[in-house]
Amino acid sequence: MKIQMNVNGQERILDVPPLRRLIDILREDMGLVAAKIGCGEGECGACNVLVDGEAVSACLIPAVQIDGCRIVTLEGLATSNDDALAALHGAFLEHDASQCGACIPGIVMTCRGMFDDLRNRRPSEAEVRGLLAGHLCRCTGYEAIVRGILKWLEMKSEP
Amino acid sequence: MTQADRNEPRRRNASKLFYGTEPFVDDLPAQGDWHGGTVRSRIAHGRLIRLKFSPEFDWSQVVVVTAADIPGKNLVVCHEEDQPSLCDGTIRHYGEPLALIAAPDGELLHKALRAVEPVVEPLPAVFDPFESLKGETRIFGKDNLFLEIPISKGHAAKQFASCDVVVETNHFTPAQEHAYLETQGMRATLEGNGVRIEGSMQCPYYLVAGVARLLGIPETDVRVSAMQTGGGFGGKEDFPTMLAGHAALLARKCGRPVRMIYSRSEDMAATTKRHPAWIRRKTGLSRAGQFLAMELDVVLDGGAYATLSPFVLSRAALHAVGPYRCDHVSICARAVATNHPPNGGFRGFGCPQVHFATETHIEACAEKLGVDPVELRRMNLMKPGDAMPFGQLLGPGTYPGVVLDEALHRSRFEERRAEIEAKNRTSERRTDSGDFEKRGIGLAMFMHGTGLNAYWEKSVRSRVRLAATAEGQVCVLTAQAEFGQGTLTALAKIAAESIGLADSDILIDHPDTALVPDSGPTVASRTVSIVGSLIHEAASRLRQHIEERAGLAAIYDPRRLKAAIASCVSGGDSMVFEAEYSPTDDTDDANTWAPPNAYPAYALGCCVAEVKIDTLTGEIGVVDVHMICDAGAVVCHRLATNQVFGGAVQGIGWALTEKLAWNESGGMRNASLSDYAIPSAADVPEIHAHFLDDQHSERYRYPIGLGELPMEGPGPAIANAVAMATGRRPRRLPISPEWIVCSQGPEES
Amino acid sequence: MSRTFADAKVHTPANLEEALDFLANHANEGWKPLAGGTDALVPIYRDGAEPTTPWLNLQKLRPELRFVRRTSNGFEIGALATISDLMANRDLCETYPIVRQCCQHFASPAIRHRATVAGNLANASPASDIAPVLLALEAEIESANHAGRRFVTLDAFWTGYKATVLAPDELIVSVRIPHRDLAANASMFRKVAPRASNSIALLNCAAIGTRDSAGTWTNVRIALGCMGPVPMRARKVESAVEDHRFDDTCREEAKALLQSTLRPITDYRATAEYRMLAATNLVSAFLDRTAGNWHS
Repeated sequence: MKIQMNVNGQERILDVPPLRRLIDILREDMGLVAAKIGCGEGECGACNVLVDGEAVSACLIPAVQIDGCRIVTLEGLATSNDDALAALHGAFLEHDASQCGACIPGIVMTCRGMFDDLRNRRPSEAEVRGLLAGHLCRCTGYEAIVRGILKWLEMKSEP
Repeated sequence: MTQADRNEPRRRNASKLFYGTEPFVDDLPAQGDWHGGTVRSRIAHGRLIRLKFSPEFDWSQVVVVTAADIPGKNLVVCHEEDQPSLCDGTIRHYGEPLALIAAPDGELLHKALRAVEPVVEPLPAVFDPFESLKGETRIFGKDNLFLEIPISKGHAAKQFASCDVVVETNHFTPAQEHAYLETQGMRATLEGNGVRIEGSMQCPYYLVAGVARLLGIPETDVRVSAMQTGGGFGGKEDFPTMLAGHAALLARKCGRPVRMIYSRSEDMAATTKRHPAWIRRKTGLSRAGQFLAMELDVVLDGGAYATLSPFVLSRAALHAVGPYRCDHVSICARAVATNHPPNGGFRGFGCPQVHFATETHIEACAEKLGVDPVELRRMNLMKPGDAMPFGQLLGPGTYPGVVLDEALHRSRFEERRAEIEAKNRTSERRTDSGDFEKRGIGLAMFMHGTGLNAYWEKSVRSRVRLAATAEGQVCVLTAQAEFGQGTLTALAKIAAESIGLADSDILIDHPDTALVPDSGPTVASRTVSIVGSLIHEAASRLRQHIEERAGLAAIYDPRRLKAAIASCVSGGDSMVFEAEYSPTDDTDDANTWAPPNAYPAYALGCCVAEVKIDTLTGEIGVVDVHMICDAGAVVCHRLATNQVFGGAVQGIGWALTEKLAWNESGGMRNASLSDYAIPSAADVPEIHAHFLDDQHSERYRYPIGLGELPMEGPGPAIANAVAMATGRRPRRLPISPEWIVCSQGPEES
Repeated sequence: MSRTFADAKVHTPANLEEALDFLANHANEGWKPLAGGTDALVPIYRDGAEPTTPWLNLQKLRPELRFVRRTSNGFEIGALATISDLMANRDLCETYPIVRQCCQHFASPAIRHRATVAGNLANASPASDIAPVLLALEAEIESANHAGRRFVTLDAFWTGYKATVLAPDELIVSVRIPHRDLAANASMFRKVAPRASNSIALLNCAAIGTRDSAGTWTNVRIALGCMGPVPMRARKVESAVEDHRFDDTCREEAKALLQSTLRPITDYRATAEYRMLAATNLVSAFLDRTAGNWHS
């Protein structure tokens, strides 16, 4: 079937089978490999991308459901002079939040997806942990990631 | 300034990892690759009569590889030569590879895999190692015993009679899934007369040996490039040898690059796990609390093939007593074959199992004697010069007691314990208060010897190489893989400091066996300690050479040094320096599994954990964790601290939620990340990590392996905390809510 | 290239009317509605099941069916409202704190953006996280076929394990939470699972009620998940405590009633014995609490 979507600002028309997964369309058909495949069942968050502004797991979304949608991947964010992303990058590097790196791009997308909601308030550490509950990481114990996010939000709330 | 704030180099590839541009094997462009898959057994034990290929499928579209197609030896190269790469007629575990298929796309591969039906004749299977030892079902050798390691010191059996108190306990620790976030993946390409392997791995040279033997080609015709590897934890130590062999067989048959990327469920069902362990511990004490005699039985379920079981068993046996002194010890450690899929290396490598037994057993001893378990530990902890059961003396500067004291101090253990005792008393039986919570605090000591044991470390003959460039930079060439531990960053820092160059003038990349010497496997917490020391040695030679050649003064700045290196190279000097691991001590040469000087040094740790228990549901929450580690010099504090956080959380999962269920064929039943629950950020507390490293002692001049250590503390510390909260001692992991509230959970039946 | 699922059959109607007409004309072909897909597609994507079911993709019905609103009779949740939509409706979450508590334990933020309330109910899993809360709030399902609409109370909606009253030509249109006359001053949602969220429940429990200063309970509604083939109300317990104080006699009666009506199973996650004990403890703890507003 033909689907139309906007990927990282570009209008695309693709001819794909209706149940082909969004993650495969991005990674294989478009070569956008920043999103990783961890579990294939929406459990680990490694494949999260933004669909219409919300971070969702691309391994559970069939082609037929992205027709007409706006998709943003980490590649798109990275080339869009996104201040929030740059700040998160700084905070994550400072805390060494990435170890093997397989989970990080998905976490970055979730953080970016929550940004508008989080920018006006200071979530507690416990809240940040709750917001990360859809991400599995086996290297970091989450500590550096949580600290990195708290630091990021601190930076953003400064005038 | 906290320990992590020091001016240290950042993780070398941090930015690429953040943006997702550091490629993992499945991120490589398609390049016309075919996709490989595996036909697996669904029974635990039996004969493979034949493979039935459905006539409805057009087999001309794909290639199929069976054992008959193997040009070399049908073997997964490891210690014992018992594991075939593809089934040789006898199926010994669920998920065993029977045949391989490659297809131009995933859809076709899926259909082809479904069109093969193994015709089998089942045999009785045995999943219990004690049952297996009876030998009624033959799996390995004549007695199903992969290895037995006896260690004896003094006369334990005799000594028990003169002890005031004897305490005996049984313990069980479960299998654990590595759950690295990137599943196993490998790509094979035909190159020249041989094959090129790219993939996810810990030990590139293991793959060289394995693929060469399987294909019957010289090792020089196999080139292995490790990609960024998405977590390993020991799970990518031996298994990638098999997967690389499979990809190579398929590439050879179809004449194209083949990539094999396991799905999560295939990865969990088919790859190794932490060895389940049954441990019986018996200790005789004096009235005052001194350990007088010990007897230990350790039984590991090795699964159907030996893989790394002998090595895991060796480490378990050598660490079985923990950091305690006892003059009369008798240890019997056995690794037994069963029809489970093979168990293999996993962070801690036998240590988490024995430390769980030791640290929960000690609490039972303290209870029997009516003494404070902290005091009982303190009284019996080793000091430098004390001998371990296999003869090694604890090295200078190694003070488990100092680690214990630091942990008590930093966690305010005794104060907190008193507060919790008081609160647990008052909250009892007040159902209307809404307070259905009990708390407990517990601690555990643990230790981890660095590197492979002395016999094996010596036999590897690790080599590293430094090569200077015309720009005056220095390449660090080792076979050490990067899978999140920070190999590239830490080894570069060691080189930079040892040479005296800026960190940015050190070049290091993922290992490619076409370029790097064999510096041994990336395992056993040996990267920074053993390989790092070789880099230091080679770097010292380089520096000495430059000082002599360029006539540099003893003190110079990094830029002048860089210029001097550049001019040497431009002047035709090859500027390549190697170092090889070659200990002069030959006392260990004959003893494979329990050499007298087993490890060059021991890292030490103490974990304090506080738990809360919901008395309605039995749910257990970890609310506070302190990790005190003594691993010699810490090369990169930030990276090391994060290793401790990650290890601690892996230990929490092992202790509480990672319940591995088996199907009737002995395979993993809950082979998904939704059913096998590793902790999320919301399930663990903030963790406090502290290193003992800034003292004026020889011990802190060099790094001691750290990678595995932090995994080993939380299990027993949590069990001890739960015991305080509930008044019942967990003898098994994971500790389930069910065990807390029901008189008898399924674990005890 | 990874799997294409090229054999899968999907139809995407443009609006509700078209969807119902399509179902009317293809009632015997096994078309299955596809809403968020977060559970429905897992057997295919994760477990390699053949995509033999033809799917009716409801995505284009979002403009009609994605809403959460207050009406004169209570709250109305459109069939394509997501779990995130529920959490974003402050009015609903403040009126019934258990709704937000439950949603916070529901899968993960990313899944909550896709998973729909109606899909979760239609999926008819005994482990549904949202089901006990909606049962305790006495929700109704509004469904439609090409001929018209009908209402069925939620506790009559499930007919057995993974089975509902919906006919093959029928779709859920909305889920309605009726207005409660008496403001509840106590409510509870508890999910017992290996992880705080993003985990399949071992059991879950939602309860709501009003307790006066003398300790007498009225309008108690208790619902439990994983305690039988479908999520269920504990109606006998509700009746037993209505207009009663939860004294020792009442506690024993409630316990006996739970044990005679609940039918938990033993699986590798937990035993029936454990589920029964934990459920009994949670219900007793709710009813044991002293007066005053509390929502936990």
